[in-house]
Amino acid sequence: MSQTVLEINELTKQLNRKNIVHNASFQMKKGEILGLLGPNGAGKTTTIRMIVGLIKKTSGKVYINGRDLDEEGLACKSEIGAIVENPAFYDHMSGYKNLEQYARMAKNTISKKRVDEVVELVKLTGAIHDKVKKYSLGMKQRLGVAQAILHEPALLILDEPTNGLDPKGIRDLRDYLKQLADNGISTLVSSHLLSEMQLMCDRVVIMEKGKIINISNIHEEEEAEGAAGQLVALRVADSHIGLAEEAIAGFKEVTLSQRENGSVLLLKMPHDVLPELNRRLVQAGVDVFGLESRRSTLEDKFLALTSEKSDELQKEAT
Amino acid sequence: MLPLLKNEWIKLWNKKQTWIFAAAIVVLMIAITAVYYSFIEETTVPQGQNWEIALETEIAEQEEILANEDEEWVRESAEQKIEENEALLAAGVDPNITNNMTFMNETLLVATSFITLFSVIAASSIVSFEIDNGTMKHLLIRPFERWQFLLAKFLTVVGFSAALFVLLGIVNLILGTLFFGAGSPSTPVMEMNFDGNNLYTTIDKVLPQKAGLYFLNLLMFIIISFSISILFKSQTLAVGIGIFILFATSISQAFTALLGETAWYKYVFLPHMDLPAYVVREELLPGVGLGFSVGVLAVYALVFIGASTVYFQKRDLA
Ligand SMILES: Nc1ncnc2c1ncn2[C@@H]1O[C@H](COP(=O)(O)OP(=O)(O)OP(=O)(O)O)[C@@H](O)[C@H]1O
Ligand SMILES: [Mg+2]
Repeated sequence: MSQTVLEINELTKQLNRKNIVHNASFQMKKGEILGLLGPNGAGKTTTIRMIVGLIKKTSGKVYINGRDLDEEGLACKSEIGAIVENPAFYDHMSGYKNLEQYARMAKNTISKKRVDEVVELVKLTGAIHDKVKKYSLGMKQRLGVAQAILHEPALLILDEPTNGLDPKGIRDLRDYLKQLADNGISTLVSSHLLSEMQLMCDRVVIMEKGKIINISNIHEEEEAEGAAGQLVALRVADSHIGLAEEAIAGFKEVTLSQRENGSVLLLKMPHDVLPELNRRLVQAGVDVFGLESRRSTLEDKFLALTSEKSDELQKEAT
Repeated sequence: MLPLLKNEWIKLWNKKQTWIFAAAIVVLMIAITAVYYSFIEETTVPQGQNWEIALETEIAEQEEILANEDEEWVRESAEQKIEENEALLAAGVDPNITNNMTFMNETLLVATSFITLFSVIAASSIVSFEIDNGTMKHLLIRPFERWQFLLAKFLTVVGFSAALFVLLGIVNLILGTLFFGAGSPSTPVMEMNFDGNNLYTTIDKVLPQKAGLYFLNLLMFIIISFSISILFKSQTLAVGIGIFILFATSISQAFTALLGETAWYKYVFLPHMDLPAYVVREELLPGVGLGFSVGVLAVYALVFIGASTVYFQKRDLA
């Protein structure tokens, strides 16, 4: 069941004697959505370009469904659908004619019905016969997604697909990728929208300066966090701060970690005592205006990791 | 391979430029017809008398001059005229006959430098346009070898040039028939040769030769511009060099006069870019016949195609 769809092994790209990507390795399982994160210039696009064969790798291996990209390049490529950086089109042709071009290049025959279905899916039905030069950025991005999924690839590679999409578009894309994942299709997606990646991905790979510095499983971490204790923001009426603090002080599982702008208290506690805390506050006569859990975000983690790394690098330098 | 060809052909004809080129060929042919028509009107000798009698009368006149004149240059010109008229009579060539066939024989190659120009532009842009436009990466991630894309593009340009040539032929035939009436394809004609004996032949023998030899040269123009645009990643440079060669060929006679003596000149491709000259002459330079010329061009073609294909197979596509 847990078949490996993509494996990269010690992938390295050297240009002008500089390692743009250095010994990158990771695997992707069938049906998995893997996020590729990293600051600008980290080497995400370069890694993707090597996987899809747009640039030659300096060393390392890429396997797609167990096939070696160097040996069975065409077989590998027919299983991939991709957006690499900004999707580009033949502007003087309609969106539909553009898609027809890609449909013809697929190894399997793509019916007109399939094209219409994909157009429907990316919500371009109304504009598909307009010339692409009239499209907005987001519409082009949608057409980009359409050309990537048209031939039903086993592995989707999307380099910043959320670029230019409106919130609705991002949500649609997320839902669609989840739906594809349920059907066993894997997606490698790079993005700068960390909150989006947190919602979308099963695992994330964090790159910096050409190296992979962290690979983590988002769901496992969320569960771990839930057990150990998470941050909860409590908002009460201004005059009830004292009362609230008293109630909390008498609850040993809960610790007060910070006061935020007057009437908000940041508390640290295990996830499952939240209802009990609420009950006690009400019993103590505190007017509660809000009680919300604040999960530590991928952003916190990302910034911590990348700044840690740059601190280290700075130390190394001195 | 076939889908790639189909794609390229569709993309080509979805460009405005392609239609403008085709229209330009039609307009140009109309202009040539107009000029030719007014020229014929002015110079045509009064019809009604038998052309053979006219030629004989002219011979008699010249003989009279020969009998009475001592001036060297007058005698020479009279002798030449007599010789020419006798040859015309012997070959059965009516020098004043004008019909759609003689019209085509005399004007078909006039407009071809425009076909060459348009082909150079198309060949230079078909690869570089996709790279600049960003669509090349969408092609190269498909399950085809890179050389297959090059081949499809190359054949498309050749097809385009052939289409323009056929269009020129058809327009030429229509206009010729309208203005000069239908004539026999086996109409005898004289082909002028400035460096030797004139050629007396028929149109159905000489015109296909001219067209075929022109097309070989056209192929060479396409190969050079296509390859340069790939090797130097520059459309501008490729068009520039193509046009330069086009002009250089039109004055290649001057180069030949200047450099024809040197040992290496026959290995330069330039003098061989005027192949239709072989219709009237055996040799371009001493010892350089049609076979040699085609051989030299073939070697250049292989080097250009080989270098650009190898380079394109290996290059990183950013
Ligand atoms: N053709 C090239 N020649 C030299 N350096 C290059 C080339 N292409 C990329 N680089 C360098 O490689 C590094 C990684 O670039 P890459 O595009 O992979 O980053 P990225 O992680 O995708 O960044 P972003 O988030 O901005 O898209 C950058 O420092 C870039 O300057
Ligand atoms: Mg990038």
